[in-house]
Amino acid sequence: MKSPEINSLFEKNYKKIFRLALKMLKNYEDAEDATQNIMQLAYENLDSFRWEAKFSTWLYRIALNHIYSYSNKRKKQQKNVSKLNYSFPDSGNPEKRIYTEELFKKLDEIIEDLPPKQKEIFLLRYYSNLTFKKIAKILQKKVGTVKSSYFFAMKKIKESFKKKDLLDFEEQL
Amino acid sequence: MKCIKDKELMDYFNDELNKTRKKEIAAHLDGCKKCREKFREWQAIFSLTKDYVEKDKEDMQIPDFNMSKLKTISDETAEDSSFSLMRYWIKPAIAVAAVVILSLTFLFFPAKKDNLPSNDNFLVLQDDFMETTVTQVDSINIAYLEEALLQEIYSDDELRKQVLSGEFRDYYDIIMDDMRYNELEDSDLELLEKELNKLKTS
Repeated sequence: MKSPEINSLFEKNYKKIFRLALKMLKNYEDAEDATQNIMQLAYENLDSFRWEAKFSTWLYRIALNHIYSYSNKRKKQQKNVSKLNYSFPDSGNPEKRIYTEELFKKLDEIIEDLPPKQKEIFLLRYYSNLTFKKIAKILQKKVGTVKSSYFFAMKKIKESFKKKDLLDFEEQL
Repeated sequence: MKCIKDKELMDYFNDELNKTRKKEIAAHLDGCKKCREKFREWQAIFSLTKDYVEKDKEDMQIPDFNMSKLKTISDETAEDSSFSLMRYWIKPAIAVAAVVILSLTFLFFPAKKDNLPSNDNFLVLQDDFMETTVTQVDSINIAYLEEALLQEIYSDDELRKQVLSGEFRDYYDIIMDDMRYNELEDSDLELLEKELNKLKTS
């Protein structure tokens, strides 16, 4: 069963799973460790995978379960979480650069503070590039439910920017 | 045309609307200042989010992945299969068992599926990998599940504290949420029916 096709399925999904793990665990070492574990776990349990379902759906379910248990374990160990930093190239308008940096940091904080289910859907949508239909399949929810959570997440982002009078950033840039 | 709802604007920016609806929205925006303002706000948010995510992804240094590494580890751990079993399969099984004990009274067949017999002697279980199984509840099974639940509580310090301080309910809710009984897919229901028929004929 472990053919070249299987290898390519793993390779195809590795980056997306890693990005998801990194955003959820906020630490490179942990993300690498968790992603490796997820791949290993999927690899060892390939025999139990029912091939009528899509491989990536199955893999994402394993990934989410594993990332959550990894993060719980880490909370128990009270391990420090490193903040991811953004590096901006020095070229271009420095004022614009500083302003964009501010906006990105603000957005990063808002995403970090989203309720877990909304954050999960936001990350699957943006960092794993999944459709609402696919996310619904992975989470075993209705497409409407997934879209509602996503809507509330986006609304929260919008309201936070509005509250701080930051919504006119397009004009300021 | 009525003013456009936020939800529909979100669909617009996620490219979830058909061409006709998009044209209707564009026409409405031409004549409605309020909606135009709302549209502009959403547009700014979606464009910022897109830029932020692109930048974030660009900055991520993703380590190389190769299958051969996986295979080597797999071969090494093959000898210690009891460890991986304990870690990945027994735990979910015990979590499932915990719910079974707590929920013996209310059964899990979705009410809308009338064709499934609502028989108190059967339980529908789903593990962490969303595999669905049907189990017949008899005295042997109940004894096993009780033992599994006690072992789970006994082996986990935090869980034991939670039980003693009456916070077990939270743990139970998390498991219930994970199991998502009411959202079984059609393929799962077909499998259930098959399993039930097998059990009935045996």
